[in-house]
Formats: sequence, C-alpha cells, structure tokens
Amino acid sequence: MAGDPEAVRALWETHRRWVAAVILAHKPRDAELEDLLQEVAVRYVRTIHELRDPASLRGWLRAVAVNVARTAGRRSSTRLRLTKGGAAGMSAGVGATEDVSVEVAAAEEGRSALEAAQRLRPEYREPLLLRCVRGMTYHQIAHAMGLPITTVETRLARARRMLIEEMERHRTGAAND
Amino acid sequence: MEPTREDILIGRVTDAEAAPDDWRELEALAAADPGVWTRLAAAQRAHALLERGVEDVLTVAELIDAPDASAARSGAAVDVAHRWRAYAGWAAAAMIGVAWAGVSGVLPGASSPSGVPGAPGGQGVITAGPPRLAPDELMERYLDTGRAQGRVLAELPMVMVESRPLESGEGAEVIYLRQVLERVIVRDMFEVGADELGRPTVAPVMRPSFTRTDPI
Repeated sequence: MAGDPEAVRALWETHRRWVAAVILAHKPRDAELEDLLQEVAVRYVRTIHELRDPASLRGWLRAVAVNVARTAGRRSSTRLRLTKGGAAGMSAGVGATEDVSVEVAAAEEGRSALEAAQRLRPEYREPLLLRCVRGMTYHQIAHAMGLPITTVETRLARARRMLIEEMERHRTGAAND
Repeated sequence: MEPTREDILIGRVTDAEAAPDDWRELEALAAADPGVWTRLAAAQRAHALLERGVEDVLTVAELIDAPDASAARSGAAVDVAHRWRAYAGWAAAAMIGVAWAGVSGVLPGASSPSGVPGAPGGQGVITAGPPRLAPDELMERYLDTGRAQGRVLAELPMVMVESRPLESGEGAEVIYLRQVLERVIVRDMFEVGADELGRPTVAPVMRPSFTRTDPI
C-alpha cells in the first residue's frame, strides 16, 4: 500500500476528518486547523511506509496529530482569518441582512457548543469531538486513543455532563451581561 | 464526579450505541424518575449542537489532500499553506482596484487555453470545456485546472450573504460568496484611482509589495 500513491491518498481521505477532530481537541486556540492538518498529511505521506502493522494505523495517526497539535503551541500563528467559522463552510458575512436564517442561528449555536467543549480538559474534549465525526463509534474511538471501550464510554458520559453544565453556565452568563 | 449508570445509559442512547437491554434499563429508571427523559433530551440537544459545530469546522479537512511523496519529502506541500499569507495580499489588492498588465503567464511553462494569459476569472479555461456543464462542474474544472497549473492555491470558506425561506415553505434561497485564492506572475502593476474631479486614473505602482494581515 505504501508504494501505491493512489492508495495512500485514498486512505488519507478516509481518515482526515477524525484526524482533524483530534487536532481540534489538542491545538492551541491561535493555531490554524488547516495548517496543522496539512502538516499531519505531509508526515503521513513521508512515514506511512514505516508502519508495519496496518491495524495500528489509527493509533499512529492520532499520535502524529496530537504531536503536531501540541508542538504548534510553541509557534505563533498570524494566519489571516477570512471568515469567522460558519454553517457548513459558510458564515454570515459583512453583507448579511437582518433576515438571518434559521440555518445561521443553528450554526451559531453549534459554534457556541464547540467553544464550550473546548473549555473541557483534553482527555474529555477529545473523545467528545471524535464522537461528533460521522461514523466514529465507541470502538473506533477506543482504538484510536488506545483505551478500553469502557473508559471511552465513561469519559464521554462525564464529558457530556460537563458540556451541558458549561453551556448552561455560558447561557446564564450571557443572560446576566 | 463519577458518571452514574443513568449517565452511561443516556450516553449510549445519545450516541446510538444502546442495546435493547440498555433501553429497558433506562425506561425502568425513567419509570421511577421521569426527569430521566428531560436529562436525555438535554444530552441529545447538547450532542446535536456540538456535532453541528464540529462538522462545520471540519469541512476544512476536505480541502487537505495528501501531498505527493516527492512534495512531502521536500516540504513543498507545507509551504503552500504557509505561503497563503503572502499571496492573499495579491487577492486583496485585486479587490481594492489594483489592475495588472503584461501578465507573463501563470507559472513558467504554463499556458492559458484562452489565449489571454492570466485573464482574471480564467474565462478561457471555462469556455474551453464541453457545453451544457452545470456551473458547479465548470467551477470544479476551473479549480482543478488552476491547481494543476499552480494558479489556484485554495478555495476558501464560502461567505453567506443572505438567505431567506422560500415562499413554498420548502427550503431556502441562499446567496453566498465563493472565494478562490489565486497566484499569478505579473510584469507591471497599475493602481486604478480617481483624480480630484473624480475621473478614473491609472498609475503605476512603484513598489508592488503588499501583504494583507487583516480579515478580508
């Protein structure tokens, strides 16, 4: 597989979303997800041929992603920000009218929930974000993180409870402002 | 704060990992305390919102392809992402009215099918395609060709300008801006401005150095 560029590329496409979620869970706030994911992609292509056991791919990719995300904290980023997040790749721009759609409001709530999740400790944040990637099961999260399923389940349960409290705190705080 | 059995069961239900026995157990708990359903609803709502937020952010992942092995070894692929900052300045300059002339081609050795080298918008590339293609297909073709020739560096997140529900009640009309980050090589640059009478003027830009760091 390592010698087949098409297979290498296809495999990356299968995994890049959850790898991005891992980076999102560990990166500093000012580091750009795109830059870090690009860096992981480069390391993946450079070193995939060294991977002897295909079954260990998830764990290996996660280790690379965590490493890239954490070391990004030592670099400053001045990346220009073209939009402020958005709904499925969109965001309300300068010309947005007052007729803001339900879709944009939902995206805003989603962004707020993500910010709340990012205030949790990394060991809770990571499985929570991974669970939001389409198709990631408890089993796959456990495999990627190198943890027993029961531990993942316990962390998710705690994380979700903390998330609800954090969102409630944020809502209450916003209402009091 | 160890999670309770109820937390675990609610988690399984929320994550679509619950077995029939889990459901039965949760229903038994709810029979004794109907507040279980409220807490389940809260968990599902929190998950749905977070899922939305995460999915929105992760759309960027679709833009990051695995580089060619040779590019990865040389580090060129990483450079592309980091070069955005510098090249974004050119895109921004175009937006504020800088016109260029004497375009010498996209990249050394690259040619433009339009016969108008480096024509903004790449009309030649688009019209060279087969007729009756949908705009999205044409746009994809434009982006693919641009990437292959080194002109298109990336397509940036769309910016929603306006949306409104359709009168039929089914769906919405959405007006949005698509942004493509591009790179061209130019010989000379001219700035389009206005004189004291408001008449348009064109003046050469003496030191064409520009880097945008503010949001566009």
